[in-house]
Formats: sequence, structure tokens, C-alpha cells
Amino acid sequence: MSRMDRELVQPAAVDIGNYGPQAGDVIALGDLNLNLTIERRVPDRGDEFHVGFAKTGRDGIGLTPVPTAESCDVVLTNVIVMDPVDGIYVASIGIREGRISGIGKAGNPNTMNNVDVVVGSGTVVISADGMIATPGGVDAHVHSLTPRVFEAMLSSGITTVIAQEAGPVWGVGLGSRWFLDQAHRAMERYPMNIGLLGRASSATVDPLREAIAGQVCGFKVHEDTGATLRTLDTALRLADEIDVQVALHTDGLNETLSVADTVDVIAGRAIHAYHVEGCGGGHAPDVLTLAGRDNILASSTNPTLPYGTNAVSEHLDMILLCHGMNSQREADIRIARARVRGFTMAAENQLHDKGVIPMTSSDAQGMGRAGETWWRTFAMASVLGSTEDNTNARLLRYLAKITINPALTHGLAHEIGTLTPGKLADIILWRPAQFAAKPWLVLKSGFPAWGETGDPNASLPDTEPLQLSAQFGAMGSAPSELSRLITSVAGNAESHNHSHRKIITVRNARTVRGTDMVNHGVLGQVSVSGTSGSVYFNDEELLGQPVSTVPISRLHFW
Amino acid sequence: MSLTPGEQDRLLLFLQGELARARRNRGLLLNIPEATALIADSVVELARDGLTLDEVRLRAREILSVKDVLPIVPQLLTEIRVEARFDDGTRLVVVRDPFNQGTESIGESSEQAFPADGIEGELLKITNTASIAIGVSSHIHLAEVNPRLRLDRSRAWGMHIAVKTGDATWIEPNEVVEVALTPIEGNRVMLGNSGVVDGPLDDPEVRERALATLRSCGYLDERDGEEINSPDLALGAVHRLMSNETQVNT
Repeated sequence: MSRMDRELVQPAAVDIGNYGPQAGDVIALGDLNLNLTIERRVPDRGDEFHVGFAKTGRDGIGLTPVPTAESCDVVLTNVIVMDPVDGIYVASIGIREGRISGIGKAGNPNTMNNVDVVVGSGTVVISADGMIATPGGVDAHVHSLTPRVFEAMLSSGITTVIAQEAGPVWGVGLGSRWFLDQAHRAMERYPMNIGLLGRASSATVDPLREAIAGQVCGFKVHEDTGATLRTLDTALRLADEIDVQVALHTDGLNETLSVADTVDVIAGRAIHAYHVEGCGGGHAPDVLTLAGRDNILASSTNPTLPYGTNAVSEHLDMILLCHGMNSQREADIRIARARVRGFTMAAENQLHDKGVIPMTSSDAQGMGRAGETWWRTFAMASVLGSTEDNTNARLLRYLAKITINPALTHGLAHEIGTLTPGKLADIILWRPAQFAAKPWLVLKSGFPAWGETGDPNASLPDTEPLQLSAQFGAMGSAPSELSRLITSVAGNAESHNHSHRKIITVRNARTVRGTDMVNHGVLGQVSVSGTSGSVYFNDEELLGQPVSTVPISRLHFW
Repeated sequence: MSLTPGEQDRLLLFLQGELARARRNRGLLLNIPEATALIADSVVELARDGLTLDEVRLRAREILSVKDVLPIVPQLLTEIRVEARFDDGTRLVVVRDPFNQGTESIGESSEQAFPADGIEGELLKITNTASIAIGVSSHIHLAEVNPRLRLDRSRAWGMHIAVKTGDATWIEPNEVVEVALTPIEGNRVMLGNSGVVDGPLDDPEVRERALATLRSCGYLDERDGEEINSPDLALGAVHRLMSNETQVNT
């Protein structure tokens, strides 16, 4: 039948807030100076599904009287889907039993054309019209020295964590199966996917095998416990055997290996190079030269993103305090100073913008901030941006750094990292004005787990003082049902009784390469001259000045 | 004091309001949480001072101006909601246009009927015989609407009114409106509503049975300008439909 009449239904600009924007609409993101453009919208013009008084979300109109097995458990209506792979478009997201069951036009196929997401009369509706939906953030570098670090992460939009401790321990990976068992039990209460790295600074595989039995999701090699030829090779050999990733903090003293030697030890095997700029640790001053190689997947930690005027000044104290050093000891001061270099910080930012460094992370409680990876990632996109490059591609490049790329690196992309049918419905809903700063709602496996809550006595749920805190998915035994313990296939085969959580088994962590990194994959030679204080990518010198003000921070936070 | 959770939140809001005031007093331009807290905290105290809800709502817009906040804040912070304890108990205060820019808008017209000539000539007259207003929303199956509405239900069969999704046309008592029609889409299977269809809209048997049932139960109808059923039959039509009683057509 003719749908000519649909063209008359409405001017596009009116719709935001009713049932989300239309294709071609441009939406500002707070003070980021980055514009989001709606690339497409599902064909629902004229019969948009939405709920409320006199709206289409009623039985016999947009709802169909079938059980959720034939529809879905939850539908998020008319959201701006922002996916690192599929782009930016308006659709509704159906969720069944914790997974994304469909993304498209929502409604009742009996009365509407082109319905992709059947909404049953019993389907739970989350009215997300005009909100932005992103995949839950993945923070692959976390020191969980106190439990509330997870609350800070949830409040910033992180739902998957690769962590290394449980308590104020000298961790950098855990090796004791007994200790790991207790850690897994404790972490079951957070509505997140959590994997713990096994400590892999060991000359023999035996401690690593114990960690595997303790259900780690990968290994950590750290200079503070030994990042030598033997430990690194041991970790990589066992990682190859059981298919997990190795996270590396290299030898900052260059004591037994220089950066070229570390590359030789890695020998083409996949590895995750943590804080590749180096002020978080590693070969001074040239650990950044690990970036741009196909087998070395590099990430940054958030205090230097974007590179700010106070970054250098802050880091000297941070390093001394974090690494058990003494500000009165000459040798310690010298080591610390060698690690703090403005010119590599500036270059690191440029390498992010070029698509060479594919990941951002926090380094929470170990020289980074748990709740700042989202906003610092997009603040970097903003300060490095230009009006010519104010595009969706730019937004999606930066989105990939905190979602799909760390998921790919750690072998989790079959379960998380994009908004794709079949994957876990770990979804962050943002108001556009607060994008990357403060989420409105965090859905863990499709269930409201964390988000904005108001005065508990009020007649509406959202009166001041609004706070980011637990939703029902963080209550009772819900977290253990909604959350996942991340471990290896070998770890999953161990008999265990220390966690009720389901498992995400790590897959394809050894075959992942830099060229697989979504919206990145730019390879090339990074060279660092400590004497001249310059960094080159291929033949281009990477220059940049620190910025004195950054977006988001001053606007949205106390 | 036996503080309740709500009272504890009030104290948190006070602290935030005071911090915002201190920053403002140092000459700083306020950001989103600061401006929100300062206004919300002030609103609660205005209620404590004994003002009425309407008075507080007006005064709330004068607490801060655009000059007091970071330049982008007025674009992003357009509404503040807070509950305050008035002399008659707790009340919701919604502060729209919190920096008094004259942008407050509430109750925009929701009736955006199509221009008549845009709809393939499909216009239908509806008369409200009830003593109260009746709303007809965008996507309801029009043949099954309130028995007190007189319309040609055979022409309304399988159709909904052509207005913006989610809008409604309100028809006042004794008012006659003309609405544009547009077909229900999809598989065109109607389950629900009055229950009289319960099947494919394009099945002639379903259609004839359902239309006959509605007529015989007393739903006001019309055919070729001729009224079917007298207005007094509308009362009880739903009851007759439920109990499968039929009424002789007039």
C-alpha cells in the first residue's frame, strides 16, 4: 500500500524525545564539540513504537499477545545505537534471557510492517527514546585493590574488567589458587564480567598452572615481579597452550632487556602491551616503540589522556607512591624521572588519533582512575579533533578503544564488545548531553544493574539529588546470574564451587593481531629518541602541546 | 532524629548547594551539578519558608541566570526536579527553564491531524454522542472505538487515523470531526481491543461477522449517510458484546 502519507507525518527535528531522532539529524554531545550524525533509522515512520498514555505500546496495537519466547524479555525503544562496527543508527534493541535477540524496528507484526523486534504484551519496555546505547565498556587494566573500584567503574559505564588483585596486596596478577577462589567468591556480587590475570613472572610453569586452576583469564608479566626473558617466554608459551592473553609491563630499568630484546622474546606472538607510553612503566624512554606492530596490541592508561598541562607534574609522585619507592633516595628519583616524559605523552595521543594505538584503559588504583576511561577517551577525541574530522568515523574509532578492541585482545569478542544479536546485552544508555561522562542506566545482561537513582521517597524516580548507584541487578543474588566469570577453557574444565557465575571462556586470544583492531589497525614504525626528546611514526615527527582545559571534566563533575 | 533515607538525601543536597554557593561567591561560573544543586536546594528552602508550590516554581527560575553558569550549561540543563516539603506535605517541584530564558513550553498542541488532501481522499466523519470528550489515538483500530462514537465502521475497518504516532484526536460532546484514515499494516491481524475481530482483517467472513456483531450490540454506526443504532443503544453495547447478546438493528 502507498506510504506517501507517511512522508507527511513529521518534520524530523520534532521527534527527539518523542521517539528519537531521524536519519540525518545531527546531535551535539555535551561540550565535546563532536557531532553525532544519525546514519539511518529503521523504517518505522508513521508507526513508531513507544509507550505511554495513548501511545502505540498497547495490546492490539504495538504489543502482540504472545509469550516472551516468541517476542522478547526486554525491549529498549528507539535508541541511538552507537556501535563501533555497525555505526550510528536509530533502532530498538530486543533482549531475551540476557542476550541481544534482535536490533531493528520494534512492534507487533500483526499491525506493523517490517518488525524485527517483536514486542509481546509481557515484554518489559525500557523507554530509551533519544538516548544513546553503546556496548558496555571494557577496562582491560585494573588493579582491584579495594572493592569500590568496581562501583566507580559501573558508574562510568564499564561492565567488563580484567583485574589483577583482590585487596591491598602486591598483586600484579594473582598466583595462589586459594586466594583466587576467595577473590572469585567476592567479585560475584558485582554485576560485571570479571576476569583475573594470573601472575606470570615465574621461571617455571608450575605457579602459572596453579593460577589456571584458579580460573584466571590470562597472565600478567610485570617488571616489579620480573619481566625477564625467562618469565616472559614462560608466560607466552603457556598462553599459547591454553589460549589466553598475556598483559605486559616491561622492564623499565632496561636491566636485563632493552625494548628490542623484549620484541625478540615476544617473537611474533600476540601480547597486550600495557601503558605503552611508558609513564605507567616499562622500557624507558622507548617502550612506545612497541606500538604499531601487528602482534603487539597496545593500550594506554587514562591519566595522560588527553595529555594535560599537569600530567608531568602529577606523575612523579604517583610513580614513587605506586611502586614502593622513596622520594629521599636518589636512585628512585632518577628512575621515576626517566619514566615521566612529556614528549612521549604527546606522541601517544597522536598515535591514538592515527589509529595506531587501539585501546584505552584505566590502570585503576595502580596509577589510573577507575571511573575516567570513558570520558578521557572522548575528551582526547575532542581535543585532537578538527572541524574537518568531526565525523561518526572519528567517534567510532574512539568508541572501539574502550569496547570491541579490548574485547578482541582478551578473547571476549564472541560475547561482548559490540551491540550484536547473540552477544550479552551489556549496554550503557547515555543522555546525549552526558555522553561518556555519566550513564543514565547500565544494563548487565539486559537487566538494570546500575544507574541514576533519585530521592527514594519522591513521587518520581528521578528527582534530586540524583546519584549513580545500584539498581536491582546489583541486588540479592541477581549479580551472580547476570555476571560472568572470565576464564580459559582449561580453567573452565576445573571443578570449582567458588562462584555461581556462568563462564565466558576466552577464545582466539593468541591469533588476534593489530590489523584486527576495529577502526584501527594502522601499522608502522614508532621510533623514540631519548636524547632529542622526539618521537616519529614512520618518517613523521609526532608533536603536540599539553592542553590546559579538557571537555567534560569541569562541566559534569563536582 | 531517626533520619529517613529521603532526609539523608536532603542533607546531601544541602551540602552540594552550600558548596555551589561557596564557589559562586568566589566568582566562579557554575557547572551542571553545581547549578542543579544550588537551585534544587534553594527550592526546598523556599518551601520551608512557607511559599506555595506555584510561588516556588516562579521564584526558582530567578535563583540563577545565564550569567551565573558556564556558557554551555543553559543549553544542557533545561529542567530540574526536586521534592520539597510544603506546609501541606511533600510536593514535586519541576523547574523548567531554570535560568529564566523564556523558553518554558508545556502543553504543545498534540493534535496534528494531516491536511485532508494528503490522504488519498480517505476522510471519515466521527460524531461524539457522549456527554464527555473521547480521545482517539493514532493507531487504535478505528472500527472498534467507543460505541458512543458514530462513524461508518465498515469504512473504518482495518484503518487507523492518520496523525503523528502517539497523538490523539479529542472529540468533544456533540462535536463532529473529520479524520484522515490510513490502513493498519503488517500481517493485518487484530487480536485484542474489543475482541470482536480476533483474526485477519482482510478475511471477508471475519469482517462481516465482526461488523454485524458491533451493529447488533448497539455500537453506533453509519452507512451511506444513514445512521445505524440510536444513541441510547450505545450504553450497554459493551455489556451486550461481552455477554453475546444482540439487539435488533434500528
